[in-house]
Amino acid sequence: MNVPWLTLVIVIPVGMAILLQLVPRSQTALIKALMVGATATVAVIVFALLYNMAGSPAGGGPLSLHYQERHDWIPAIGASYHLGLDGLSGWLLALNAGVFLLGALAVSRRATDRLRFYATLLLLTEAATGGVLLSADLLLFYLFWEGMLIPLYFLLSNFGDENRGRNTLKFVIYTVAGSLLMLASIIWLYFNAHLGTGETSSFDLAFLINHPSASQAALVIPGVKISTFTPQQLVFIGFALAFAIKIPIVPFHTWLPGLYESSPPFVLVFFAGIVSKLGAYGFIRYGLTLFPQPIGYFKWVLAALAVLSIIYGALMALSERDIKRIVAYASISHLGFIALGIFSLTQNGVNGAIIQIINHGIIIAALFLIVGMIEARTGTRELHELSGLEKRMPWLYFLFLVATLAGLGMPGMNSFVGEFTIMLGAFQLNWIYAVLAGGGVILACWYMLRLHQGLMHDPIKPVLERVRDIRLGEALLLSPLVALMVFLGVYPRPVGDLANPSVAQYVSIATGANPNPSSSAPSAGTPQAPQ
Amino acid sequence: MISTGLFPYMLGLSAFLFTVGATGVLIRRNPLVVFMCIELMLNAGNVALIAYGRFLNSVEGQIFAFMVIIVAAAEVVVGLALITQIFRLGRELDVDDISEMSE
Amino acid sequence: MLAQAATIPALVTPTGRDLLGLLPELILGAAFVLLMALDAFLPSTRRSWLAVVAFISLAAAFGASMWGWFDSGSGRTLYFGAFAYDRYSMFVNAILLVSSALVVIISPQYLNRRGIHHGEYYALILASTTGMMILAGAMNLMVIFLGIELLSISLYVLSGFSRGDERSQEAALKYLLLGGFASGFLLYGMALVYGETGHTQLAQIGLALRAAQTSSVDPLVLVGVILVFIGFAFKVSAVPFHTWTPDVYQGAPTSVTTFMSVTTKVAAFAALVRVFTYTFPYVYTHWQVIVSLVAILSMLVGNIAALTQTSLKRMLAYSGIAQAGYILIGVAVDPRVALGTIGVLYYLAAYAVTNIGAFAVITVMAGRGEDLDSYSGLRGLAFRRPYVAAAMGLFLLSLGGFPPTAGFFGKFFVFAAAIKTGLTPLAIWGIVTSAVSVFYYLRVALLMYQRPAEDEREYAWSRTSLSAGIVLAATTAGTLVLGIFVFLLYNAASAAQSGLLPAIASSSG
Repeated sequence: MNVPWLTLVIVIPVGMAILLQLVPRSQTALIKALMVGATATVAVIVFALLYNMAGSPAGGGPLSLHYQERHDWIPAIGASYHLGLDGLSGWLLALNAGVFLLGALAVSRRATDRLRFYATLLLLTEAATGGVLLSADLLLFYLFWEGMLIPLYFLLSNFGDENRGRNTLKFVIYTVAGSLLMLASIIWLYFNAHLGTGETSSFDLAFLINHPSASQAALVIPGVKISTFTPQQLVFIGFALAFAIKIPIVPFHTWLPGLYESSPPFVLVFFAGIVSKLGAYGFIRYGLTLFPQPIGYFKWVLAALAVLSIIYGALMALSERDIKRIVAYASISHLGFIALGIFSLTQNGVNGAIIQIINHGIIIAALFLIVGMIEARTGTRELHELSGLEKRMPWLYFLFLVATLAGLGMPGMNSFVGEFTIMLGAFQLNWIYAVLAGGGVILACWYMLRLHQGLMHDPIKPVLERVRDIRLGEALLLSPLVALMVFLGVYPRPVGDLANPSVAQYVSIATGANPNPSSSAPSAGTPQAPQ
Repeated sequence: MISTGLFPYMLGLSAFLFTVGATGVLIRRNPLVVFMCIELMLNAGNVALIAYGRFLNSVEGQIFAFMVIIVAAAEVVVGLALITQIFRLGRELDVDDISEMSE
Repeated sequence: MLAQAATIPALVTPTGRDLLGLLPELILGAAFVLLMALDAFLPSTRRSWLAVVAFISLAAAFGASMWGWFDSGSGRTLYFGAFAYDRYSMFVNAILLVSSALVVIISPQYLNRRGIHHGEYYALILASTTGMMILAGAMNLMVIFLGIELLSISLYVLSGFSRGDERSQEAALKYLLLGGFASGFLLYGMALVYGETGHTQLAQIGLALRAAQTSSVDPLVLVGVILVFIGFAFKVSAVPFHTWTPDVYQGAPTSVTTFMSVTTKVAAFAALVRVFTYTFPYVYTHWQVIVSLVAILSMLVGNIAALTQTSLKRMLAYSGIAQAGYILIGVAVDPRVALGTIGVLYYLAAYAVTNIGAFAVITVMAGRGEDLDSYSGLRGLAFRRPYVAAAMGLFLLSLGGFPPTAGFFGKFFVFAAAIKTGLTPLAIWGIVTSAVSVFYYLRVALLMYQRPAEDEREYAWSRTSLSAGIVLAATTAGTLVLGIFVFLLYNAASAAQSGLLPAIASSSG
């Protein structure tokens, strides 16, 4: 039977979200069971797809998708309902399924009196982010990309502390401004695709990669005669802004700390876990393939901004006293690494970026959960009011220790692999970038240990004497994440190997090594991730 | 019967009436006077239509003008009814004072 | 091109075919008479029957329009070229009739609560709808004027329908004075266009302009074209001719606001496209600048002014001004590009379904004797009426242009048309102002999901009745369907565009 598995990944959450409306709001146990059930089903489907992917043949074309589904959507303008999954999106989709399952599990029925509302929004967000990762048509991609904001908006503005409304609005306006410019860019690409005779343009990603617009002269500002950018470069800027805001790269990061601070952990698990990674995914999937010339032109600036993010995030994490904000700024720093890997435009860099996307999703979800647990027990997030928790919370201490070590890039932990590979790529770009990024690693040690020691060591404050350790359920929530940190640290190959063919192909398109992007054979040369 | 030589003057007259009407709408304050100015604008259009119709030797302009007269009459009926109603509700007849809603 | 032999068509009785082409308008006209007569005989407690009659006649007219869609084929004219019988007018008819029907469904409950349930209401709605349909199909300057006046005069009365309410009277008077002012411009512009081209039939005007294109363009024609545009700009409430809009929308009874905010715009834009894009394509370069300028100003002023509002109806009024600006982008693109017109049609359909939904929420939630008008009235709606709040949220997001809603694809098609024809700055401007608009739409959406403060009076929302439920469900479904199954309406709009009369310039792509 020909089951549309990819569509199911989107439809199951949406269907369950609709179904939930029929359940009375007071039936919280049933609501939670249904929410967990739907996200778990999606996770099972995704992992089954991933498991079978290595053996399945890749389709031709510049994308080499392993699974595809394609139906006409608006045939008159060449937009189609085209879903595809390859090694690149595969792991991200797995992360997606994982963090949403975690989000579904992490919300306790006592945490909110609006569980059904939360469940509906969580499922809709999962459908939208899944759609972003799966779509292989630019218009469809945009639909999910922007549509994602709707459930996120309600989610972020309804759950969290009293500042959430303002922070959410800031986030939404930021992202809407960026993504609307991307819409203009998408339309421009569509109309300027270099068509052969008898061809009509299409929003299909593979089609647009194969039919790049003819290069045009730089636009000149009338009157002052200052030559600016070529149209292609401007169009790339439209895409880059949308993605850079989502990641976020400094200086587009200002929405992040406040929003993370005001959001509850069970939202942050997937908000920080997957949504911010979609910007990085966008750069790889769309930036590298559609804009080989502009991304080569801008890579120095973009890589510099990425390094700036690393350093800035690390310094801010060092100077913060609020433990949630420390983690938020650490996140900016880590995301800077991912961005640096991408903009190095080397196979190592991009490969490392993908590995790091997965790792960071795991680590940041764990850290926010831990911070949330501490806050729930102590009632404060001030670093100087907390100390010596190791005596009262030995289990949390252990799990937190692993997460801390993973966060600072300890060899043997998962993020070491990613960061090391990214540094290799950065070296290939320019050694200065690598050195500066290395500084970021050192700072990471500092702020992670400061956080961990501040919370756990030293004599315990008297007010904290009655704090209880985490419950079994919470430990079970954290332990798979912690196990993954170790597992992916010693055996990172599954992630790297599956994504490698796509990455090799994208990098060759982006660097112009492969002048004919339509040829399907990816160039060889698989960088070995250090063990 | 007007001769072709009078045509520019007819057109000039209509333009003058139109300007007077439009200016009146913008500067006068009494709704009744504003209303009269609107009628002036419509009649300026009528004059232009008839002048053109005569000049072009086509009846379309005159038919148009007749229709405008009828429509304007209907508008006056509604307008005067409204003004009367506002008056009965005890309001000053000054369009600047009719600003219950502006913030 | 002046001084031609008089072309007086011989007086002949209209043929059956011509009458059949006007079937939707005739049905509504007959229903108008019937309603006035019925109103005299029905006891005042049975006024809702009038709504049923009005609804049936609207449905019948809708059926007739659908039949006309298939019957008209590639399109022809009625009454010696004075009226178009093409898919374009049938498309617009369909939007108008569905909108009117939805308004008729929600009206009885609202009017009863406000204590202004009079029988003329439905007759006037039908008269106004007839005027709009005439306007949508008009191919002659006189018919355009007639259509505009028929729809406007009915709306003047409807705006003042709450006779004891000063605000309603004030709204009506403002609408009347400024509407009359606009009519003056329109008429004078038409007189100039008629005088300088020698025709009132759109097709012949277009041909005359094409013939004159070889020589220099007559400046008086251009003045006429611009005056006609000003007249239309008043009706679609584009800046700087928008000043009446907020006051009238706020003062008029909400069901009337629902009706006119959507239908007037749809009809006026339909005529605007027919006159400008399809009759004046040969002076395109001259009017394009002005249309673009008005579009830019509308997007700016509408969105900025909406930011500071605290009244829902005023906010939606300013939002409507901004939306007019977006639709004008579709008018401003090169007439040879079909995507512009398709975009306008799609936008109008999307705007109609969304805006009716948004205003319907205000209408059906209105408490006894007072309109739900202030932002604070919505506070906490989601806790008491979760489905209504969700629907309202969806409408607001659609107005803001979020996918997957109808509003997104409306914007998408007009922006695409602009980018295709090299009007990229216009599209960018639209995008920037859209980002601004998100702020005020989401502010309202957020409010519904906030708990009211302890000491705050809870607004007395009325119960969601069956009729209200039907309208909200229909508009919600429409908003989503137009945002997901785009091809349905796109293909229809494309077919409507391809048969659009008068076909003077050959359009492509």
